[in-house]
Amino acid sequence: MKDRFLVYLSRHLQVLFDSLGRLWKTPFASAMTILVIAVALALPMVLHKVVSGLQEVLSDWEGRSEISLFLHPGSEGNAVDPVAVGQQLLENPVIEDVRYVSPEEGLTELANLPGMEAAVSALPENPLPPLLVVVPATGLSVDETESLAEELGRMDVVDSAIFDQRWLHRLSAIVELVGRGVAALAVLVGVGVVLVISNTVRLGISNRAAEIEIIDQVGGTRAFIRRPFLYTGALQCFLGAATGWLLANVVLGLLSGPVGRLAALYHGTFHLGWVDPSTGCIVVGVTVLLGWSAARVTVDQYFWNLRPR
Amino acid sequence: MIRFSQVWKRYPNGHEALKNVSFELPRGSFTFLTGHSGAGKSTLLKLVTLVEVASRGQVLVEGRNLARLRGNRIATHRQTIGSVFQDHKLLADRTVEDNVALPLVVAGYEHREIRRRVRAALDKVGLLSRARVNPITLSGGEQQRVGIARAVVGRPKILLADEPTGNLDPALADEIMDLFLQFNQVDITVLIATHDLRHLERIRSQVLALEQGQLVLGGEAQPVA
Ligand SMILES: Nc1ncnc2c1ncn2[C@@H]1O[C@H](COP(=O)(O)OP(=O)(O)OP(=O)(O)O)[C@@H](O)[C@H]1O
Ligand SMILES: [Mg+2]
Repeated sequence: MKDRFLVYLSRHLQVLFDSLGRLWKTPFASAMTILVIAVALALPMVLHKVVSGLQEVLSDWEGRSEISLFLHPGSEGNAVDPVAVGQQLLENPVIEDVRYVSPEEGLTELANLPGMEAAVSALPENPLPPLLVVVPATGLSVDETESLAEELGRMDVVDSAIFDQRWLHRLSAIVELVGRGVAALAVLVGVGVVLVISNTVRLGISNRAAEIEIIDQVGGTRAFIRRPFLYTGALQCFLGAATGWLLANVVLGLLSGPVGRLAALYHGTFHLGWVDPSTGCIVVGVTVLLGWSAARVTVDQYFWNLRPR
Repeated sequence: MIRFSQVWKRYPNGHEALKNVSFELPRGSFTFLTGHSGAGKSTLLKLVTLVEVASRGQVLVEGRNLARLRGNRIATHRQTIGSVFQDHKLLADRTVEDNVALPLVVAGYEHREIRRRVRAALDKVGLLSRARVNPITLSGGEQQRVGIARAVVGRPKILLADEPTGNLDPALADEIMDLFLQFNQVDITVLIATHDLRHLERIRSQVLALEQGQLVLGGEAQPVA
C-alpha cells in the first residue's frame, strides 16, 4: 500500500520535473506565456488595490460629515456669542457635537495649508467669520443632514450653512462602479488565461502528436497522456500568477510614493498598501485551477476527435 | 487467440473496408494477411488494436469482446498486443533505449525492471550496442528491429505487423521475418500484413487473403492451408 503510494507519487513528481524541463527547453515561448499571464493578472490586482484604497478614504470622509455654520461677524454692540449659540444647538437631539473655530484659529489652519502661508500673511485683516462645526448624530442620512443644514441656515445668527456632500456621494458611486469594472476585468482575465493555456496545450499536442500516437498505440491510458499537459498548464499558471503578484506589488510600491504625496495635499492619508500573501495565494490557486481545467478540457477535446468510430 | 465473427467495417465516409469477415487464429499461430493495396489489411489490424471499431459483428481477442471495452480497459488491452509499423514510428527525440522502453513506462513498470527488459529485448534483435544512439542514425532495417524490440518488450500475447518489410531489400526482409518466427516460438500469436508473396513461399504458415474487403482465403469456411 505504502509502496504503491510512493510509486504513484514518484511518477507524478517525474512528470512535474519533465514538464519543468520542457518549459526550460523553450525558454522564450514559456517566458512569453508566463509574462502574458502575469501582466494580465497584475492589472486587476493593482486596480483593485487602488479602488479599495479610494473607497476607504471616501467612507472616512463620509463618516466625517459635518455642517459648517458661518456666523454673522456681528457688530460691536450686539455681538453674537458663538459659544452660547453652540450650547443652544447641542440641545437639538440630532446634533451630537458642536465645535467652535474662532476666526484666529481658522486663519492659522489656513496658513498651515501648503502654499497658503504667504497669501495669509499678506492679508491686511482677518476676513474669516466665526465658525461653528456641527457634527450630526450618527445614523443621520445625507438627506436628513441636508435638511438640518437648511434649518440651521435659517437661524438669524447664521450667515450661511454649508453641507456639501453630494459630490462625495457621486464620487463614491463612481468609485463603486469602477470597482465593478475591476471585478469584470478580473473575470475577463480569467477567460484570457483559459484561452492562453488552451492555446499552448493545443500547440503542445501538435508538437507531440507522434509521441501521443505511439503512446496511445502501446496502451498508454488517457490519464497518462493527459498528465504532462495538465502539469504544464498548471505550472505555467503558477509561475504566471506568482510573477503577476510580484509585479502588482512592484507597481503598487512605485505608485505609493506619489499617491501619498497627492493625498497629503488633500489632508488625507491614502494607503495603497500591497496585495498580501494570502490574497496572492488565492489568486495563484484560482489561476492554477483555471490552467489545469483549461488543459484538461483541451486534451479531452483532442481525445474526442481521436476516438475510434 | 483472435476471432472475427461476421465482421463489417464501414468508415464514416461510407466506404466498406471489410465485409462479413470471419476467421479464427489460435494461440501461438503464425499467420500472413495478404491482399492488394486497399483490400482492408490495415483496417483488419486496427480492429484488433481497437484503433477502429467494427461496425457490425464481433471481434474477440484473448477471450475479450472488444465492443465491450471502455476507457482504461482499452489501454490495458493494447498493452497485451505488440505492434510493428511499416514506418517504424520511432521517436526522434530520444534514444533507441527510451523508444523501446515506452510500453513499459506506460504500463508503470519500475525503473530497474524497465532497463533489464529493454536490454534483453535489444539483445534479441541484435542491437544492444546501439542502445544509447538516436534511432534516426540507424539504417531502415535496424530501425525496424528497434520497432520489433519495442513491440515485444512488454511480453505481449499477440504480435501484429503492418507491412514490416515494405521498405527493406529482400535479404533484410527475410531477417526481419525470421525474427518474427523466433518470437512465435515462445507462444506469441503472430499476424503479419504483407503483399510480398515471397514470404508466403518461404515460410509455412496460415494465410488470410483479402480482396476488396472480403476474405477469400483462410476464412472460417475454408480449411486452413
Ligand atoms: N480512415 C478511413 N476513412 C475512410 N476510408 C478509409 C480509411 N482508412 C482506410 N480507408 C479505405 O478502406 C480501404 C481499405 O484500407 P486499408 O488501409 O485497410 O487497406 P490495405 O489493405 O492496408 O492497403 P495497403 O496495402 O495499401 O496498405 C481503402 O479503400 C481505403 O481507402
Ligand atoms: Mg495498409
